[in-house]
Amino acid sequence: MKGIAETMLRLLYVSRMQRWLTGFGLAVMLAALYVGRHPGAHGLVALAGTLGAMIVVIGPVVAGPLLFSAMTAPRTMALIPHGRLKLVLGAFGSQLVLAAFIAASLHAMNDAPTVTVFALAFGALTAFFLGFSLTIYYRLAWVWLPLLLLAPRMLPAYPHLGIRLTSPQGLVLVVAISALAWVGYGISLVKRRRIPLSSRSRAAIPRTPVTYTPRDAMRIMLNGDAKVRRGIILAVLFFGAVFFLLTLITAGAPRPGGNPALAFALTTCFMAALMPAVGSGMLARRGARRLWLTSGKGRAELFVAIESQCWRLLFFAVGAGLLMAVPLLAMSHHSVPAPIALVALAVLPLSCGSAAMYACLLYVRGNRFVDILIVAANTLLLLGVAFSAAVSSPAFPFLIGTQIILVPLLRQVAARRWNRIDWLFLRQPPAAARLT
Amino acid sequence: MTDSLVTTRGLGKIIRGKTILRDVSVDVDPGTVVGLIGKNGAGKTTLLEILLGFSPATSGTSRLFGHDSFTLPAAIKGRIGFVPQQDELVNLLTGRQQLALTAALHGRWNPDLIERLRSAWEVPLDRAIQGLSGGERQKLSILMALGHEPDLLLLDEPVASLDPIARRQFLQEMVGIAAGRSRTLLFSTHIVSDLERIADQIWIMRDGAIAWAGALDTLKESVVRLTILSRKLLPMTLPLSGAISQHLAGSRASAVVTQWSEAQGVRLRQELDAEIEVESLSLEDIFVEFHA
Repeated sequence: MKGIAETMLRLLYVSRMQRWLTGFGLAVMLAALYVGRHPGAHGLVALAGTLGAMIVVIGPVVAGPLLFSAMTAPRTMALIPHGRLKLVLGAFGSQLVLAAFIAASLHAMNDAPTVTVFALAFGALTAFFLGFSLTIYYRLAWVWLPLLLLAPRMLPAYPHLGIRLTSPQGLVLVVAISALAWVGYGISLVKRRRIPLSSRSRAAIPRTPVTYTPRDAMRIMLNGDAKVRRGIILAVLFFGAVFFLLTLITAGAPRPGGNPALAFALTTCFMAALMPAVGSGMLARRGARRLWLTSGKGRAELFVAIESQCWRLLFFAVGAGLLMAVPLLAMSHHSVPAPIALVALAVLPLSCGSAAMYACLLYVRGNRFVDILIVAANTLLLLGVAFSAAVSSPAFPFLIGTQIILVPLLRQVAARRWNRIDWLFLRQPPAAARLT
Repeated sequence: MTDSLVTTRGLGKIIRGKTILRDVSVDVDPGTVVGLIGKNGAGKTTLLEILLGFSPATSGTSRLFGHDSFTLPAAIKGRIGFVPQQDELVNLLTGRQQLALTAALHGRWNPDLIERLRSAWEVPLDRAIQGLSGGERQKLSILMALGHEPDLLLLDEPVASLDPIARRQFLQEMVGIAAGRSRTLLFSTHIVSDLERIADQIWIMRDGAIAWAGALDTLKESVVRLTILSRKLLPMTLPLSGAISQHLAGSRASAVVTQWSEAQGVRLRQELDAEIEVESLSLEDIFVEFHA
């Protein structure tokens, strides 16, 4: 029991930062609940409360599968009696706790039906956790990702699906399928003699030339990969194909309220920007250490070089996202999208991507309270911008305006941090840790 | 009189309230091979990282080639080679690509030297780095640090992952490199026998401070174990200068001192009315005594 409880705790509190985020998210939630009781409370209060709940769960949801994979991979785990079984049960328990938290918080803030939300959240969390865990080991397993987009796209188009899903039989089915998935995953994990290392260990060796310009060399040293752009293109093309198929499937179906196609396109561009921004920002922090002695650049120069590298990647990702989203949006609407929609499609990812990038770049001093606060506030604003855009909230212009104003400030903070960057904190993990 | 390549004065480092380095003041002259030795957590890596400008010092100064370590200019960085304790290779590349990247960044590169070492050390360059063993990765890291023929080479436990044969080859190569172009080497290690093979100078680190710094021969001559057999009861504290350990039992005592000299021996014999047996210590014994 102790092993299971310990695993649950580890997966829920991945790091010290997660504890801070949990505290921050709970504080926002409680404040929203308190303010929301007063008659005439603004709709933004409920939105803030929901965002608070998201801040609490986003860390364990995203980092949990990563940590779980790292915990299950060592061969020594197979030597511990029922070691893997305890890990699986701990992971299962952590997802139950998360689903219960989501259900309770949504019920408290929006009077959402607890059982329905719990069942659906448990199903979604199970799909994400198991899918993500498999993706870490098997390169092709990432095709599960578009399934996450299926529900938001299909449900508005076919409302009867939603009604069936939320009926008692539908909910029982969701929980039963989720539980079965856990049982299947657990058995396969416990039975497996040896868990393969990350799929990246079998990655193809890039056939790049063995002479480089200093600029290319810096780029590769920072990203750790010579073919980042190809990866982005493939991902965007894949999502484009999924978008196209979904558009065909749901064409002509009723679309009650909002504009799902625009929301979908916005989400795609948002994610296209966010992933490379966060990824390149995080990689650059460590990669820059490799360049301190070899590139001949000072700390300030390195920051500028890394910043421009991140921006290039961001522009490239957003450009690729737009190239895909705009024609499909036009096809979905049978007309050219309105200029305001195009502006939103370009501005939203650039603003959110740059804010996320600078937040990553400024986080170089370890877990300091001020930095955690900045990152948490930035994440909150980022989620606020994304949600308000998706639901066409009147708060969107205000929120994105605030974010655009804050981006230069974040840059200033990041640049100042880099002038005193201490790479003792940003060393490569030992090879053994990297392999597991 | 030559200018020191490395100079530190009162160097200190505190991380989250914990003192990692305290009052480190050392000099490294050109052409010397300095071995840095200390227990795990003694502060060796932190010292090297501050010397190289990776990390700011909390107090004191650190200078390389006369320049502040934290703001090293490009020209100075080009004269430094570094092998970190945990390699910083790009996993998705091959060894050949990794070397080409480093060559492109440095601008100056000696492909003949690298090819000779690669061949002698049997480093596979056409396999993905992530598939290399720990020792092969280490060898590749060393090649990267040597390709631009640095004047000052800093190595943080460079032989930890190497097998005995590779370790011996590496040490021979280091001796050749140090002698050939009057290069300066500063390396940390746990393998004391390696230090005895190649180091001119030894720095012993203990609890973040330099407990002893000087020539290897001087260290061996001045750090000795004394066995004292007196004709009378010995005092509770022996009048020994630089004693790092002493054990008393009536008229018998044993002690390890760091500043032994014949003159001290004569004085002690008279003062304690004792026979004193002086025993030289191996470097490993000295290291153990320093940390006893």
